[in-house]
Amino acid sequence: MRIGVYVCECGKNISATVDTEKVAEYAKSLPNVASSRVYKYMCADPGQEIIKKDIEELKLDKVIVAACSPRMHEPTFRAVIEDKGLNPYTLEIVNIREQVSWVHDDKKKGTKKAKSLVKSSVMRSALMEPLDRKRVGVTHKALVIGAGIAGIQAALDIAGSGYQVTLVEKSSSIGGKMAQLDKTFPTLDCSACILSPKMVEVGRNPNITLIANAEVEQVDGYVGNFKVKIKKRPRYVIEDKCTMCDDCVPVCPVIVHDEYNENLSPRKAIYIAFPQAIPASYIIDPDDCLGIDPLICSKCKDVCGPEAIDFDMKPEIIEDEFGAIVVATGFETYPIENLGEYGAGNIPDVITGLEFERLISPGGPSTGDLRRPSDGKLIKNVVFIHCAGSRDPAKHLPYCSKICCMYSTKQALMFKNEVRDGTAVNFYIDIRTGGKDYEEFYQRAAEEAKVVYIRGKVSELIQDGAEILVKGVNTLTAETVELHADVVVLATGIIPSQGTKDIASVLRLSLGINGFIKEAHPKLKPVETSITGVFVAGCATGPKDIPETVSQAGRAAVRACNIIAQDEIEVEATIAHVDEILCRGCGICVGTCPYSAITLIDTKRFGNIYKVASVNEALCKGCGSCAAACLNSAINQFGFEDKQILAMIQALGEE
Amino acid sequence: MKNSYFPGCNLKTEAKGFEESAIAVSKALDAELVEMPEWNCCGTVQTMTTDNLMRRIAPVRVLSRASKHVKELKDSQNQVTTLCSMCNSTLKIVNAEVKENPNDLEKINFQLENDELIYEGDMEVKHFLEILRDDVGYENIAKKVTNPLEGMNIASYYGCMLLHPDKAKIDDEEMPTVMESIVLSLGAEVVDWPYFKQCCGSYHIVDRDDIVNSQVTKIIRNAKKTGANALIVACPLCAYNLDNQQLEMQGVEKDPIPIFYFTQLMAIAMGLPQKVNHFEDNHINPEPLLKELGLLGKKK
Repeated sequence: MRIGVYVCECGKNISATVDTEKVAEYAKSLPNVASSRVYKYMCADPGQEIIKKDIEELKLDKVIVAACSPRMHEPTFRAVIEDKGLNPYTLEIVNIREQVSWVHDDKKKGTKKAKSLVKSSVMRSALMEPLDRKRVGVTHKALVIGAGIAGIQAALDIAGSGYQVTLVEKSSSIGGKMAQLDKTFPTLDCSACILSPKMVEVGRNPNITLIANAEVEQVDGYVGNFKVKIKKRPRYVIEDKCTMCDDCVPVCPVIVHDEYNENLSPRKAIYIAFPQAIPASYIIDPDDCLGIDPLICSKCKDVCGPEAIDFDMKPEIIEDEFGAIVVATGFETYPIENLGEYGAGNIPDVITGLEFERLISPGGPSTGDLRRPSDGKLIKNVVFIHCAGSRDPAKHLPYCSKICCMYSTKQALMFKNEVRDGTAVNFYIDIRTGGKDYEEFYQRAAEEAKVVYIRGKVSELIQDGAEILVKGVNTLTAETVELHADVVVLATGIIPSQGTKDIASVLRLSLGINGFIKEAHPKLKPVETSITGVFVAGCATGPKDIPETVSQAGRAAVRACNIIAQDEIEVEATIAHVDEILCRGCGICVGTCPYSAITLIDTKRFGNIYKVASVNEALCKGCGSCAAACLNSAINQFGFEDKQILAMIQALGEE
Repeated sequence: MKNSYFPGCNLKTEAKGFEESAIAVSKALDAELVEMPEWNCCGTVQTMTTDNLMRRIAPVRVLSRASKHVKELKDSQNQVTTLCSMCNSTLKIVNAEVKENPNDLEKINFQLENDELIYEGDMEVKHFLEILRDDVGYENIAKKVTNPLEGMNIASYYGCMLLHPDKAKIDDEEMPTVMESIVLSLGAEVVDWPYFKQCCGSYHIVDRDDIVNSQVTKIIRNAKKTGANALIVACPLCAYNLDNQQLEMQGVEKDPIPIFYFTQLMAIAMGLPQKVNHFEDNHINPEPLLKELGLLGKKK
């Protein structure tokens, strides 16, 4: 056995707190160590060359690198030793940066700790065995869940690479929140005009299978081989036959709130979400319809010329297999009912940003005339309250929702363009314009359009006759401010949608502290999740504007293509392994496994059938939970076997 | 059931009617308020200085004496009841803080040695409104009503101290309902108005009555605008400011509306003897309104 130990200085990152020369000198005294060296940057090319040269000249069979976290450079050094014919799993990394130099300041103690860690790794290294990477086949098809702008873009990009993609949408039409917007910042492009070409392309692209009015119910399997159950609710209108003539709508006797217009206008039980909806077909909402029963009411069916209405449609379960999944389940806005200080939704003219968006839209409830909800009076004075429920860790959301400064500014500007003699006042905490051309847009609103900006929060809103009394503070002049408004618009923050929460539990994705899906790495793996082969795009991971969502969707599409383009993919080698002789089938490991990778199977022993645990190698992530939980030491994890761990503990205990 | 009752300074001087009506009501509802012995000032704003434990000795002494009193009362819970928002706030905050910081409590207890007292952190502080809501229940109040307050449109005024801060609040700080629920069980109409927690100006009445006047003007104007013909309060200081200052500014605001402590109205609705209300101490005489609505002297 010949082990090489390589201690990295990482510039001064490590050497300032750890005497690297002493550590290397000490390593030489340890058993089996044939070589021990220090270099300034082990990960740099010259550093890698030192290791390669030693493997060749000194005939090393194990390598230890004492440097940064294995999350940084384990792949680098594995490639180095593999290049020289060693098994990559015989590499051992000692983390003397994140776990020593960065967290300590006493050089003497730091050096001592680094020495102990190196010693324990030398003991483990001697016991390490070569491991094989397993390979599994791949289904060349992707699934995108959620068809807002993020899901639409991801589906188009995957389809554009020539792969089949299925796009599942919960509501009756694709388009998501962007379809509700009138204009977009910072260019004041009409939202529908830039979104609808993409929506039409989704409907037309032969590589895209669109399943609207449907939800993903169950996902089994693993990267390359996800088995998915999709529940498609009945539409009661045959999509191919519907000509969108609108004859069914006037005869329908049921009037309900229109969700597309944020409940500010009515719709019928048979309806189309909005004129540009895709799939381009009407739908009957079974919760609103008098009973989906021709004996009760069949007025729509009677007038439908193309006979598109079918009351006998049943829910369908669609089962399919996919190689990769993109989650794009989007956001909701913070409920106005939680904002007691702003009337908790009881003051009719205190509305949300999305409601204002519908009010000012030519396709909205007042066909673009800015009339307020309570009495239909034309709006002259409007107050926008930024951070309504955001940046308020004591009572509401602790985080910044990122887009509210810009959307309130956009709405104020749209209002001023519409109502020249009106006043628009913005109460803000800080104006955050971190995006291309955003600052210029804000300047344009404040200076050219004379939108008023007051730095300070609004403490309460009071119904004062027909108007709303806004009580706030100007923190730049230290004065209290009281003014009257026709309408107050709350820039409510972004929260994870119900769909995001539901899909996270179906897929067993990790969530962050605020309920958004957690990325595998906040900077370098922003679309990857805790599950290999599942990617995420758009506001499901946190607040984002449209440009960021579109770029992220593109990356998620590329990462999905990375998988579905392969015929086979490698899965992790450091997985759990069951010793069937020792296993007594108690099943504790089954419940312990966070990835559902373990099942109990029947095995024949001495002519009898016994239950034993069995690990699905593609699902296992190598977390080690089962190995720790097993009462009979029947489960070992390759690369982290008990004898190796015990040797390390023994070495550390000898100090 | 009996409740240990801590009066505080105002209830014995300016606000006799509040105390007597509350005690009369509490007896009728089997939740009798029994005055605790040897009480002292709650400490008021002095206790808000968080860096000086000396300022907390007064409230902790009250709590420890109340604890003793509760044991003597027998048929009672470990709680002390107040009729004043300020006392409620002071005692609640100090109680919560000494429970959280046993070291502080130990130091304060050391100071109480001369009184042969020790506070073990075993008490809860309640405003009488909480007793009515949690221990008595609105239905039981309604059952005792013999003279429903028909024709009264009442704006319930909470002021700031009952709802803030978190440690002292008795109800939801944005949408409180306790006073409205009591008003409804007395057979009166509830006025939905936004100024229910607007500060009355509080102690500024001592040196800056212009601040109090401007606050009171806003509150009273809004109450009238929303159709109220009377206001109920749960704090002697709020009552004083709203009541007295309406008269002070009569040049501006004609037709003042009467201010009731909530138990005064309860006493009327429950047909209790009118002398407990001491309406002679009210600055705006409420009797003309009550007579107009036929609520006085109908029953004895």
